[in-house]
This record gives sequence, C-alpha cells and structure tokens, in this order.
Amino acid sequence: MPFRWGRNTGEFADIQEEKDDLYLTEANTKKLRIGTYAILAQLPSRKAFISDLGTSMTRKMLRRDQAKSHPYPMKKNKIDPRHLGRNVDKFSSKNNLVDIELGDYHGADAAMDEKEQYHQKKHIRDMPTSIAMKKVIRDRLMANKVSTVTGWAGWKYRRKLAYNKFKISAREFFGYFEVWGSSFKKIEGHFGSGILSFFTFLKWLFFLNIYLAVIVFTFVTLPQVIFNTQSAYFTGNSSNLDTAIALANNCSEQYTVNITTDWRYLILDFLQGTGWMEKTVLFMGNYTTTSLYIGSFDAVSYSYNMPLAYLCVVGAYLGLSLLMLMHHTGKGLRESMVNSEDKYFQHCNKVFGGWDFTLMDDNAAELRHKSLHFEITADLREERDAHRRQNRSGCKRFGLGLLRVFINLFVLAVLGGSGYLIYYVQVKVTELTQGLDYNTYGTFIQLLIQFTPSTTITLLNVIVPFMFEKVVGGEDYSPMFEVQITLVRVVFLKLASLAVLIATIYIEVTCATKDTCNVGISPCPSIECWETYVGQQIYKLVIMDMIVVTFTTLLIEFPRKLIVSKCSCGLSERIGFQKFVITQNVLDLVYSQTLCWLGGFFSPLIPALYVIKYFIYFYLKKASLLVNMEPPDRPYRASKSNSFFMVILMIAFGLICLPVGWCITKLTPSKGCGPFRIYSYMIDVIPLAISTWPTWLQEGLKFISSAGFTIPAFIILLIVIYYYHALASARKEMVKLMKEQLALEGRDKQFLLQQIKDGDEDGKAAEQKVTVTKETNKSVVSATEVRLRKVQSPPGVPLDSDF
Amino acid sequence: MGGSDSKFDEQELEDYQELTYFTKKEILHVHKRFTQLAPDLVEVDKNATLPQDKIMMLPELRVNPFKDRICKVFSSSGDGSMSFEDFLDMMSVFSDNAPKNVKVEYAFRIYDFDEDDMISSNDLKEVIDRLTGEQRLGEEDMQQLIDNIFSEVDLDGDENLSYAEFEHVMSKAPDFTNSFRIRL
Repeated sequence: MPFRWGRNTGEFADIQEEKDDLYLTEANTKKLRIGTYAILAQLPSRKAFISDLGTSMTRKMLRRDQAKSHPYPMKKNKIDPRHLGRNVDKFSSKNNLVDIELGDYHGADAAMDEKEQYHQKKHIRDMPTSIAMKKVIRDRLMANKVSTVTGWAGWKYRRKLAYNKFKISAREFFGYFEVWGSSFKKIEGHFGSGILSFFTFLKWLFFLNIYLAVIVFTFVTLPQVIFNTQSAYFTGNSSNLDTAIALANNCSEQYTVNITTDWRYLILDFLQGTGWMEKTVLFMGNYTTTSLYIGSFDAVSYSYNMPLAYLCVVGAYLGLSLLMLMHHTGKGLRESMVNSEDKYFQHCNKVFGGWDFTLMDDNAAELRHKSLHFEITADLREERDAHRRQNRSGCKRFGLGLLRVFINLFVLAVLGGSGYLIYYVQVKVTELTQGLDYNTYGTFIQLLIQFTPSTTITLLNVIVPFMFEKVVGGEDYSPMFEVQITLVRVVFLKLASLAVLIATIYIEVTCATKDTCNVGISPCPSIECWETYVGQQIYKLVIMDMIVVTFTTLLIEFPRKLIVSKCSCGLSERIGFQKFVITQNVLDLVYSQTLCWLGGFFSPLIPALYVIKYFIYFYLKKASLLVNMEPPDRPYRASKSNSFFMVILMIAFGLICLPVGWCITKLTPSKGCGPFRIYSYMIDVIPLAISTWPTWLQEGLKFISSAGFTIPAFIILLIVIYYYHALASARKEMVKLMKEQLALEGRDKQFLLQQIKDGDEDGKAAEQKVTVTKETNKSVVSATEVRLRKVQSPPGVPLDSDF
Repeated sequence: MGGSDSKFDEQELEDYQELTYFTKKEILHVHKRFTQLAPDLVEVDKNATLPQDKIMMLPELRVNPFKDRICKVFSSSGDGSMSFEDFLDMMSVFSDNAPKNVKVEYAFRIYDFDEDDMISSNDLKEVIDRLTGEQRLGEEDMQQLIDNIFSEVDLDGDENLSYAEFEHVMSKAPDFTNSFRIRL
C-alpha cells in the first residue's frame, strides 16, 4: 500500500521509494491503480491530514480553519512522514524529533492566549488517533507559553470554564438517577434500536407527566387539602357578585352525592368515579371557590386565591407540555429537514447504517441478518417493479384509479359509521343512567352500561385498523406509501372518535332547559356538576385503556406464544409469533396522552394517575416484548416515523387546547360545585384578580393586550419568518450549485489523473526506447570499433576491449 | 467505583476525562468491564494489552459482523490487540456523547477493508456480504445494489467512495447515530 494513516503511524511508507519501485514492475491493472493512488497521495488534501498531526485536528477542523487563515497554512508545518516512528515513545518531548508549530495556522507567529489554547485543547478530543498520541499532542500544546486573557473576554472565558465543570458534575450526578437504563440495554440487545425508540418515547411521556403532576399537586391539590376553607369568596374589587354568591351557597347545599358503603358499590364507584370517588380531590367539583387562609379566619395572614391558581396551573401545564414538545420535535425535525432528499440515499442508508451495533443476542443478530437480506432483496425487486408500475396501460390505470376512489370512499364511510356509533352509544347510555329504573339493575349490569362508550371506542380502535390494513393491499401502492397511508387513516380514526365523544358530551352539557342551579331538567339529562361529569367520562376511558392493555397482554399475547412455541400444529404455523408493531403502539400512546391533557383540566389528579399507568405500562410492555414476541420482518427505521409521531402529538395537543379554551371562556360553570361557582364564565376570575393589582401594572397589561401593540408585533413576526424562509431557500439553491460543481471537479480530477498517467507512460516508453537505442548504438559502435581494430591492429595482438 | 478507585489516581482520571467523552465514573465502569474480559492479565497491569480474541468475546461485540475490523481500527499496534486505552477510546467513540463527525470518521475506517482511504466496490461487496450473513445476495442483486449506491453517492465518478462523499451521505443518514452506538 502506498500509505496508511491514523493510529499506526509507524507504517508510513516512504512514498518516494514506492513510486520508483512501481515503475520497474510490470504494468498490470492493479499496479496501475496503485499508481493512481500514489499520485493521489501527493494531493494537499490527503497529505495535510497525514502529516500535520498537530494542526489538522480532524478533517472537518481543517476545512473550517482553512477558510479563516491564509491559503496554504500547511507549508510551514509539514512533518516528514519518514521521521514518524512506530513507537509512541519517539514522540516524547526529550528527543530530537520534529517541532510541531501548533499556533501557526492562526497566522504568523502570534502568541497563543489562554482562550485559543483551551479552544484547541477541546478539539484534541475529536482527533481520530489513539489516546497515547492525543496525550503527546496535548502535552506539546500545553508546553507553549500562553498569555492570560484579561478584561471582559477573560471574564467570559473563566465563566465558560466554570460552566463546563458544572456540566460534567451535573452529568455525573444525574447519572445516578437514570431510570430503566438496564431495561433499555436488554431491549436494545434483543430487538435493536428501532424498537427501543418506542420505549424512549414512553419514558419521555412518563417524565412529562411527572412534571405535570408535580405542578398540579403543589399548587392546586395540596392547598385544597391542608388549608382551612373559610367561606370568603374571591370577588376582587367588584361588588356586584352578591347575588351570585347567594345562589352559589344555595346550590352547593343542593348538590348531594349518595355515598353507599356496600362493598360492591365501592368497587363500582372506584371504577366509574362516582359515589365516594366523586367527593375526593380527584374531580374539579370538589375544589372550593374561596380564598384559603392559613391560620384561623380572624387572624388573616395569607390568602390563596384558589380559582386563579386553578387557571394558572392549567395554563402552566399546557405551556410546559408545549415547550417540551417543541424542544423534542425541534431536534427530530432538524434532522428530517436535512434529510429532505433522503429517498435519494436510501441504499446507502441501508448498507452503511444497516447494522445495529447495539445488538447483543445471537438470535437477534441472526434475525437481523435475515431481515436485512429480505429488505435489500425486496427493495431491489420493488425497484424493478416500479418500472412495471409506471408502464401500466391506460385502461389498467383507469381501473386502478376507480378502485382507489372506491376504497377511499369506503374508508370515509367506515370513519363516519364509527363516529355515529360512538355518538349513539353515548347518548343511549346517558339516557339509561338518568332513567328511573336504573337503580334496579344489578351492579354488574350497571357497570357494563357505564363502560359501554369506552368499550366501543376500544373495540373500534382494534377492528378498524385491521380492516384498513387488509383494504390497502388492493390499492397497489408502493410498500412505504402503504404503511404511511394506513397510519394516516388510523390517526384519523383515533382523533375522530375522541372528537365525537367530546362533541356528544358537549351537547349533553349545554342542553337548553336548565333550572336556577344550572342543572338540566328533562328532556335534558340532569347533571348536577358537569365538570365532574366530564372528568368521570375521561376517567372511565383511562381505566378502560389500562384494563384492555393488561387483558391483551395476559390473555391474548401470552397464550399465543404458548401455542406457537409448544404446539407444532398447522394453526401455529398460520398464526406465527406476534411481531411488535411499533406504529400501533405509538399511536396508542399518543391517544392516551391526548386524553391526559384533556382530562387534566377537569380532574387534576389525572397526570398523577398517568404516571402510575405509564410505569405499569412500561414493565408490562417490556415483559410482553421479551417473552412473547419476536422482531419484525423489516428492521424498523426509527428516525423516519419518530418525527411523524411527534407531529401527530403536536397536532393532537393543538386540538385539545380548543375544547379547553372553549370551556374556560364560553361555558357557564356549575353553580353548586367547582372553584368557579360564582362567576358567569371561568375566565372572569382573571380580570377580577387584575383589578386588585397596582394601577401602573393594570395600565401596562391593558396596553399589551390592546390592538395597538399586538398588530405591529404580529407584523414583525411575519417579517422575521419570511426572512428565514428566504434564507433557507437561498441556501438550498447554493447546495445544489455546489453539488454540481463538485461533480464537475471530480471529472476534472479524473481527466488530469489520466493525463498524468499517460504522460508518465509516454515518459517510461520514451526512456525504454532511449535505453534500447543507446544499447543498440553501443553495440553498433562496439561492432564498428571491433571491425576497425581488426583492420588496424596487426595480427596477433589481442584486442583490448574497454567495455 | 469501590475497589477500582485505587487503580487510577486523580490525575489520570482527569486526563482520560479530558481526552474522551466520558466522565470519571463512566471511565471506571469501562475499566471494570475491561477487567472482566481477562481478570488475571489486568490485575497485573491496569493498562494491559489483551489479544484480539479476548476483546471479541465482549458481549456487545460478540455478534457484530464487523468486530474484527473494529478491533483492528482501534488497536494502536495494528494487529487487533487492544490495551485499556484503546478500549477506552473505542467505547468513547461509540458512546452517546461522541459527535457525529468522529463517528463518521471511524465508520469510514471500519468499512474500508483494504485500508486505502477509499471505499471501493470490493470493500462494498465485503460490507454487504457481512451484513446479510449466511444468506448471500445473488450476483445480479449485488451488482445492482453497488451500482445504486455509487450512483447515489459517487459525485466525482471514480467508482470509489472518498471520505468526503461518505461524510456527505452519512450526515444525511438519519439512522446512523442511532445504530452506531454501543453502551456499556
């Protein structure tokens, strides 16, 4: 080989000698290639990396700094490759070797200051050489005298040092608290990093809910529980709420809940959220509308404005969720923004990023080999098929188009049908529970009735995606598009079912005929506390979800595994092992998180419930994965779908904000329960609170919310967005141009290389010719001389040849 | 932590922390795993050089089709045997904190079987063969795949992937950071 770089610096071949060597050997193809490499090795871009160990930290560093400094910074710093010895000891400072002028590429003989030294030291870590080499280079770097940085720059530099130290110790500290690390390793080892992405997502949601639960608990539940509740309604500075207060007092007394102590009813109530559960802090109805006082009522020390706190907490947890979502999505979107042309690199991605280095299990590795083989052959075949698809005849195309339209209509019909079914069931159930003979039914029947809406939704969520998967086969799309479109349809299903449920409850709650206490009179369902009622519906959905997951894991997946592994009958062949379908599971998570956000408003403890739920869910899913399932046929590419799921989560979040916002601003709160009893709208508490603040603050707020401020701010924002968009498209153009230029340069290089080779070959041929001619000439000359001598010399004298 | 604390002094740990992407605790953990490979050798010399077959028995490397290339690339003596520093270096590059360009650099070296700073079609053939394991690709499929890859990535048309072209592709490969990762 002409040269080798990097770690085993000892084997730097002497390039000059090799080159000479090559000319003397026969010109076969391999040697010609080596000849090309020998020439290529002379290129500055190659040599710089090899020889300038001290300055060209990585190839990337080199390019970046080249731009800053003068064109050929390398000249001064060349280390003769021949002097680099094999052992690292030769680099020790005490011997007579080369001088690495480290500071040179920043310009002439500028003395280095602390900051630059630190900057370079940081980059040593990125150098692709061994640790021993890095140590040597670092020692050389530190041996230089540096001037300290003073003034403002110095202060910033020292702060940066301190901050970096802090970051490292923080990392070590939080390393102790890493949750589920060993579980992740196990899952990774058996199934690869694709499936791990599901569990990473679950862990992220788990932590999100912990933060939400902590916020809600500290600011809403805890005060409610520990402070005295004296009746002092928060009225701000207004005095026209007296009638409302009187009414609220009246209606609160009317709002009663039957609490039975029968054990069957206790369990029933736990599952449904009625009875004794209704009176706990789980539901919004039980929070007071008053200001809470510490100490006795007379010695007023501090008042805690509960209604305001409630609204602020809701705002806070929606805001926090939004921030975390944006942060997480931003990371993923940045990657996928860069990968906008990823379909052009799919083969490379498959080959170079194909093997998952995290795998540890023999079985998993074998399956991965198989699935890679399967994926590569399938994609190659599909590429050949794509031609077939493009060359479809007109008649076939028309038929296919008709079929696709028909199938899409069918999908829409199914979605519409599911929506109507949910609506019908919900209305029917409310009717039944309000009916007169409801209490005569047995407890079990009551339970069934109460849970029917949730069961319907769950069943639909199982059956309909299955139907969609079967149907999409008939549409003859490419496999990737098939998966995407099925995903989109399932998302519609889940969101639609939730939307219909919300709409139905809304209709029930805003029914027109009500009495003075805002309780419905027939034909409207008489719901005494609608906030609690909505909370209960969502609570039932959550419980149902949990039950279904446990049920499927224990009673469907586990037996299936037993059947397939133990019984070797035809049935087990047909069913096969269950594969972990990530898409369905992630969509389930997205759906349940949406429920959490919605429910969190009406039932403040739902995030805490979710923390417990996700905790159990993690272990359940992990156990099911490791015991019951095997890896999917195609290795799952996490990145592509991850950003998609985050986008779906964001959309769901946005959609949730609408009902919650509507609730706060447009719906009349119940008069008998909840923190907003005396207000005509929940949002009224905010203006009342603001009216108690100092005047200057009020004026400021009024200005900010007025049109005079918001419209210019909005316009400025639009201008900024447009600017960045223009920048982005300009850069895209630049990238395209540079790519074309690169391709041209490459072709230039090939051409020049060819010229050099031809030139050399001509030279070689010429040399050989000259040698041959010389020899022929020599022999001619000698022959002539011999003849001459024969002629000239007398006979008998020996010929003296001097050649 | 525990007993292995006494093996490294503060200055050495500080050095390693500066030169790798690990914290001190993680470095000690890596040393613990290193010791488990050959306890008797490491007891004597904490920076002992272990032969290649011992390193390849590490559970994280055992089923990797490129394990011999990994050992060769990270070994400072070039024959696959690794000292503790080499091992630490390797784990540092494979850790989650290493930046993408360092990973891409080493990935390039690992995939470059004949070590000529280019990934030629022979190198590619070797990579694909190792990826598919026992079931090999047919001749026609292999050729089609290689042609596809070169057409996607080979900008200067010389039927070889230079580092610049490889980096260009890998910077856009979304799964690379996820899969080029080993956690101890």
